[in-house]
Amino acid sequence: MAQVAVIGVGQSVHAPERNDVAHAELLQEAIDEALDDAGIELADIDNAVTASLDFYDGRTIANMAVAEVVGSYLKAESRVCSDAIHALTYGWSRIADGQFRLGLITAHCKESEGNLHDIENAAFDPFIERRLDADDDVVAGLYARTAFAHGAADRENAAALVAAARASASRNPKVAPLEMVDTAAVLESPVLATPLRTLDRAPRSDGSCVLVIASADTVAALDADPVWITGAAISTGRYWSDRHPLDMATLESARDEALAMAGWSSNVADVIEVSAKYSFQLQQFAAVLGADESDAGGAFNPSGGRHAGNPTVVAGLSRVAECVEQIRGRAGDRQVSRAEKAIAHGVTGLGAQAHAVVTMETAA
Amino acid sequence: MTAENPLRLEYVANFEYAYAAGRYASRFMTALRDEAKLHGTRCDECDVVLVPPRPVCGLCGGATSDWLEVGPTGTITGYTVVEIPFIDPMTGRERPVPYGFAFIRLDGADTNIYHFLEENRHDHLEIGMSVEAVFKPPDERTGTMADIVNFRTLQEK
Repeated sequence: MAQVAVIGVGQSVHAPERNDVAHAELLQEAIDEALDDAGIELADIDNAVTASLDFYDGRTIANMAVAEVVGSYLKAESRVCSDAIHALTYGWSRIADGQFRLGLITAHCKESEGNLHDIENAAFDPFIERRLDADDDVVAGLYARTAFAHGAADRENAAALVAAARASASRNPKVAPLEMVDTAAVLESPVLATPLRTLDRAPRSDGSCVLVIASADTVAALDADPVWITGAAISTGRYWSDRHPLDMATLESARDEALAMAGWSSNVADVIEVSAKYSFQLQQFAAVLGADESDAGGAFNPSGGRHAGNPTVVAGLSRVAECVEQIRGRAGDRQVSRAEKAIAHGVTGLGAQAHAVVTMETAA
Repeated sequence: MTAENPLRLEYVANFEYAYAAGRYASRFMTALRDEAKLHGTRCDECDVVLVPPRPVCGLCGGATSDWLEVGPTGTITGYTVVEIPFIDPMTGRERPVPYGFAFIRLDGADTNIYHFLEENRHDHLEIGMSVEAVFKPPDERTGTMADIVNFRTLQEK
């Protein structure tokens, strides 16, 4: 299996409303930055894996709208309708099996342009569920109640993570400034779906994120600055209504597979970036991944995580981007000392049905 | 198992969006609305003129720095006459049939746009005919492709 490295990272500024750019233009901001970072031209890539969701983009086959900016003409573009960390694991496998050598992984989403309730509701099956008019918040409320009741998450500590994320956001130039809040402000924000409050949900966001990934021989030929992907695993769980809210088997299996691939014991990562749309999930996922809540904003989610403001689809890839910047020592005011190994996590689906875990380090 | 009385479950989806037109479409649509002018962008690398304008040349990956005016005259590169009525999304009303529909290579452009034709008789049309955009009056233009009523032919078959 060929070694694969990330050699370029780019992100647009993520903000509640990027009304200044259309989808392709939003994505192009990240592509230009990633190509520049990798020291290559768009024409140099030999494949692309794009991530987007049709209902957010408001058109079917939405990857057609970005075909030109991702440079996929006469090349093997494939598209993932999921969190883009799944696009990374797909693109990674394309290079790992030797078929490709230099790829673009792209993610874009604008949560500002459609009706989020309607879009989220469209994910439910049209036969039994959809008429009940649920959305992500309803599912999260059902799950959170059980998580809090059984001590899998803690009401106050979950709120504290939101406050910490917003403080971290102020050190992350790729997210728009958010109002600083304390734990009490989170707990006093308007009710979303009990026991969750409005601020428990990650803020609405528009943004894009792009990685350039390359085979080992390409890394050498380009004299690039690589961060090696040493483990990558995805795992899909049971449908949300069939799965117990305390059941973390899906994330555990993705974690175990990625760590085994990397040859790590469970706690060797210097940085752990965890993706979660709701605060209580952040606690649950962090515990499975071995992140210490007291390190929030430090070794655990130095970027601020999704609560600093990354849209769906993009959020998981933004976690990878942060890990790469940390390992390269380019994370500015957020830099974690001695960041040599990192874990990035992404999640997708109703009630977090599918997880992905990626390990990265300085040496292959 | 076979369902004895298979059901169909009706569901009406209504999704509303407010798309950001972005940097390129905003400039293109503004010139169409305010000046009745059409623009494209030229690829810095391969000189292809792309209409509607866009930031990247999909053929070679080059950036497109130059804006230039194209049309309003052009050439039919493909056409059809449609005889199946449909609800026109631009008006919400049924569009009268038959109507002509064509690929049009605007003068100065290297890509096609497509739009309605004033001519709706199939035997009065052919590939290569010259056409010209018919714009709505200034006070009726809103910054959409419907600011062009249709294209009229400038020659007889």
